[in-house]
Amino acid sequence: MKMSWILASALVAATPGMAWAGEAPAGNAAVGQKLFIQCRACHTVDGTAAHTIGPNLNGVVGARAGARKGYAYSQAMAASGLVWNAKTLDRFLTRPSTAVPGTKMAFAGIAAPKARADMIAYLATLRR
Amino acid sequence: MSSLKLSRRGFVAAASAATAALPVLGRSAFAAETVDVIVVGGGLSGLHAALTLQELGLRAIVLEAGAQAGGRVKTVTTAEGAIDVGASQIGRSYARVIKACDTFGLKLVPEDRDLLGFGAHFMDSWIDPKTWADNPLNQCVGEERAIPPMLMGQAVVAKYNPLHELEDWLDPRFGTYDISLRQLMEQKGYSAAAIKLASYSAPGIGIDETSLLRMWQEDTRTALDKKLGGPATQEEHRDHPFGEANNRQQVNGLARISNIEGGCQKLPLAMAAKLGDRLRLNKAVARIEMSDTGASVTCSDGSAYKARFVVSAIPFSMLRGVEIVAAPKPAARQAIARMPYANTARMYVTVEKPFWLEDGLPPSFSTDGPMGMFWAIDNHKGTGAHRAMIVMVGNVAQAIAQRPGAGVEQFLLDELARLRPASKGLVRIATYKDWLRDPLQRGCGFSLAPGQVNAFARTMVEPWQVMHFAGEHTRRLDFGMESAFESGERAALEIYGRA
Repeated sequence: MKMSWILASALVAATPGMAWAGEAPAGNAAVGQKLFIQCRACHTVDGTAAHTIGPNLNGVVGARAGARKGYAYSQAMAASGLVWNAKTLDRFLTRPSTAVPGTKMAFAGIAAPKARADMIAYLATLRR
Repeated sequence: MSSLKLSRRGFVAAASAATAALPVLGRSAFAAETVDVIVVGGGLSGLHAALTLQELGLRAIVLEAGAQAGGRVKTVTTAEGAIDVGASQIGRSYARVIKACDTFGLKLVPEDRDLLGFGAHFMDSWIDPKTWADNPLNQCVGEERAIPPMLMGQAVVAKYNPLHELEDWLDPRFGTYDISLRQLMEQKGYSAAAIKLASYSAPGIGIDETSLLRMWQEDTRTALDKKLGGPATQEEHRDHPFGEANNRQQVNGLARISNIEGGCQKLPLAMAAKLGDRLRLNKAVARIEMSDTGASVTCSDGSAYKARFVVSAIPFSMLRGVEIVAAPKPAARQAIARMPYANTARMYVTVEKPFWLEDGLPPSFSTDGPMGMFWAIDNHKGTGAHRAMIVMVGNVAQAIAQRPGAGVEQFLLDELARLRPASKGLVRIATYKDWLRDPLQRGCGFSLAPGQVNAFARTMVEPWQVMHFAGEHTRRLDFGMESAFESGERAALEIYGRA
């Protein structure tokens, strides 16, 4: 069975200790969960929780950007054409306003590659 | 008593000098409490840093110089009820503040501070903004003539703001704008009359004192707050130029501007309660000595603490009074020594009956004189007692802070009565607050002089050995109380990344 690249990267990112495509450090989801402290004021993660200032992030890895129902995205995000995978999330989390100029996510970004990988690994665990 | 303190500190300094080659930890002659992180300052940023560090598994204590937590969030109990004399406005985009209020069970209520209609008293005359364009006193040229005199400064700032993203103010691409508002107006060919008017309403400290990039940081962030309100369905009130009527349309359950029910200081006090004995009150830090592996912090009462990391969460206006012994870092020293602070001074009053109905002049007004502005607050009835404020910002606030303290309140009452004789005997003072005169703050908010964004604002938040920086002056994207939370969170995560 053919596995899509997106799903494959999500799975890889979710596996602690496994090198990811040789270009990003392996993410540790447990550390990522701690780092999520800086996200939680705007983002809920439980599949049943409502959107708040930002959209609910359950199932974000593998999802099309700006597509969750019931959340008013910026025009920039809605029109970005992005699909959230390890690579696009890494770029976005480095500096959201560079990756998607016009985003209304007021977040300076995560400078350390390892911390981004940890965060992405955690995001990949957010499944209903 | 004070000589004992002096000799103790002298002894510590001498001991430090003698053993400068040794690591900091274990050096002091006094038994020092040892923790992972010492947070200096119990305002919102320091409290949020400490709580976040604790959640990340690090033991932090907070040393607060005052008798109470809260910093520039302060609720005063007056005969007229509880009054917030510091930060109180919570926008819909203040994610961390809103979350904290939710966590601590504090209720957000729509701000009830709609201002009654505005006029201006400039050049010894009452000016109606609606007919200003044709007023013979108006010496402005061309399009400038139509701008209400008390709005000139902010109108020009908003008109030329080239920033789109929240961090653009720090982007070297915009470094050429690290100039004053006067310089911009001269470049754009504004008349001398327009520049003079702008000097009364320039955001920040003043038309010469504050970098445009600092002004635009606030302007750009304000736009995001408005964006989160969704499409405007309620007409904005054009005659409310300063803190227009609140938009009470509920978005995510919040009006455009909310306050904390019962007073905003409930938030830092709730955070303080959660910290329990990890918050130490009446601990004024006098000295911070660092190496690359640890720090030793000494308070003015002689008590000493040791830690692997320090968070400076006090304004640079206060940190410049703390002795810092550390490896050279000229940019940090320069920022700490030179960052200017803006001031806000307000006299909170009750007007027993609306004198503006008697004299027929606008209830609220701006002046080009020493009292700044008078804000009459809508009581939603039109008659009877009204809350009001005399509001001084910019250079007017810098000037009022220089007046002898005892006479200030009477001086302001007299100035109001001079401009509005009908107010005589009807104005009752609830409380007065001048943030520049507050010995633990020395200002209401950070500023950056022209040239200082390029000189140090981009790098001044980088850690200095084991010291990390929090406080609204170390904001990157946010403003108001949210910027305190933003910075405390950043400092905590920086330390977590190194610990």
